[in-house]
Amino acid sequence: MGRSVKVKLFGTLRLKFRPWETEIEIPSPVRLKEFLALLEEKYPGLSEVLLAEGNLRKGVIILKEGRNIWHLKGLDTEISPGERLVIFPPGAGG
Amino acid sequence: MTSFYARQQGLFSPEEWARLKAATVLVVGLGGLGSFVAEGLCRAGLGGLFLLDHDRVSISDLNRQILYTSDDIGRFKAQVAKERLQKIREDLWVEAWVQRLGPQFVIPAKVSLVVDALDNWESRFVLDELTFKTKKYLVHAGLKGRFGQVLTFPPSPPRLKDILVGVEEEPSPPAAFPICAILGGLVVEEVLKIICGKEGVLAHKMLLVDLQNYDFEIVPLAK
Repeated sequence: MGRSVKVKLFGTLRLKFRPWETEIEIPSPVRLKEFLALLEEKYPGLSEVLLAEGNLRKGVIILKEGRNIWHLKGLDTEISPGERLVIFPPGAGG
Repeated sequence: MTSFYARQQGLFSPEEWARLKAATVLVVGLGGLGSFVAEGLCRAGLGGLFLLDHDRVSISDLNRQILYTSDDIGRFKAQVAKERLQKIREDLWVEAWVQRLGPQFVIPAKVSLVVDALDNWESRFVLDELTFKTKKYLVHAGLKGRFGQVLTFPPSPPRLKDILVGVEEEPSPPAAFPICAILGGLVVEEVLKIICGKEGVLAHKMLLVDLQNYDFEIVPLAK
């Protein structure tokens, strides 16, 4: 298993951030809060979309290995090398 | 003599065809997505449809909602939809309900599967709960601009509320014909596959659609 975390952006996030797929090297597990700070270096402005006053903002879903981080430990969710994150604002329209 | 279904005969076995003719689907929401889903299932040969929508046709619907024309403005969508579908196929069994979906709604026992073509999360989560309680399959689609998602929920966890917890209401996101047609077509295909018992359905997976870049990706979901 590699030492990087694969991140994919979907939905309207792709209108602001390119490329929509990246990998972040981490030597050991980190908390999501710290991981998002690393991601901000690749996608300046993404933290503002995901966070408000240090808390997760509603409207954008973060899945870790297919599980919503709201059901894990939120910003304290552990992110480990080899894992995959999917970040997207789902469409509510019908 | 050429039959209505001549061009799709090779797509379904006799057993699958019998399943389609025996199936009844509840389509909740008859807007951009629900229009395509209802008409697609009608044309595919489904036995019956329950249609549910409380709203009336307005001029801003006509850019994408294929069931309606300018003659229908002001009329209830469910009623117009029923009339149009029965003009396409007079043997289609249709029941149209003009009402809002709420927790008290009872999904009829004869419904084989439910389609979530709603336009707000509050109602979508209510429908998720109702289908779980009644052990019905739920096929969900939602859109925003040129992007959208399709998910199928068998009568087991995880549910819509588990996957999409943390969403936020966004009244009237941008919506045009192409994304409605493509997501609606995908939902029709998914419903037909589930009813026929075919493999490759989107249970425990999420199909993310990006028309901006013509990118389609299936994301596996944790069970």
